[in-house]
Amino acid sequence: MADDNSHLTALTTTYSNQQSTLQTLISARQKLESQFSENEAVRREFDILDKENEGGERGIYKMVGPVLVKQDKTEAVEAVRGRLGWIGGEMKRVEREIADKEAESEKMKMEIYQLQSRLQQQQGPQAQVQES
Amino acid sequence: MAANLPKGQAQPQTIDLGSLPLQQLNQVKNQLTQELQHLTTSFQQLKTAQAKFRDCITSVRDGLSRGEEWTRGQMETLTLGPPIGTPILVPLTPSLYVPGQLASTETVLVDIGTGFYGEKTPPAAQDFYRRKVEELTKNLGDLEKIVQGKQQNLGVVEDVLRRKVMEENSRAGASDGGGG
Repeated sequence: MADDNSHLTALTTTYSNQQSTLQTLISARQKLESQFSENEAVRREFDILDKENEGGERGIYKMVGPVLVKQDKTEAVEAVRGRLGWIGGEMKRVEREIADKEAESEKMKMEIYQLQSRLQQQQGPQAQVQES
Repeated sequence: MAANLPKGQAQPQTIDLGSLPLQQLNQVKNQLTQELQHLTTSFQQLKTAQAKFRDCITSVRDGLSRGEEWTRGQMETLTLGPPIGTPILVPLTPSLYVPGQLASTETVLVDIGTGFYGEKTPPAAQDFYRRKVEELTKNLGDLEKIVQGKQQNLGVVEDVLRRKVMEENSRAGASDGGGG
């Protein structure tokens, strides 16, 4: 029984560790999502800019530190597309990791639960004896 | 020992609230309150952002309009903007200004996100900001619905909690005339 007890403590520690990694993963996903939508908005803006800019003399600038640097349009569009691709891949990766971790911790939860009820059953009769 | 207390978000399915013990109900309530708080802050932030975009529209409209460009929509009432060379005060910090001269009202630079700036004519810039405001209006609407739903949930949980506490009290009172 002491063995079960120490086993339970070990399990719960790993479980709560897992929960916190899960939490970090979830916030990572959230961050990626917002980055994705921001880049997506920029991409849309580039398209609109293209439509407005048939004369071709209106530029795109990029903020580098405190200065604005004129950018080649195709380069800028390419950069944003690259970012979108990267973020998309990263999102998929994090998504998969989250699913894995969730399944794992679900399994662990069951294990803990079983162990706990077993311990309770073992302790149950003893407790009654002590009470009377 | 308290290991199998749920994280809350893992079980949004239908659970009979009445079957939960007080402790867990309290937890659910706290979780909901927290979420609600977070959502309300986001709501507030979106509102602020929207107000800023609106300010941008006003700035572009009132500060830079050149008469001949105003052919669209409700802006037709505006006829003439400041001519080039108009003396202006350029803010360096919110409380420090230096005098300058308007060099051009042809185009403005618009922050389109992730460090990129696009050159746009004032009407196009206004279109941009109006689009942003619209987007935010939509988001705010969605968020409001979510907030309302959460509020409802919270109300239900609080209700059940109150009933449970009362039940518990009356049971304790009936059994031995005052428990703890």
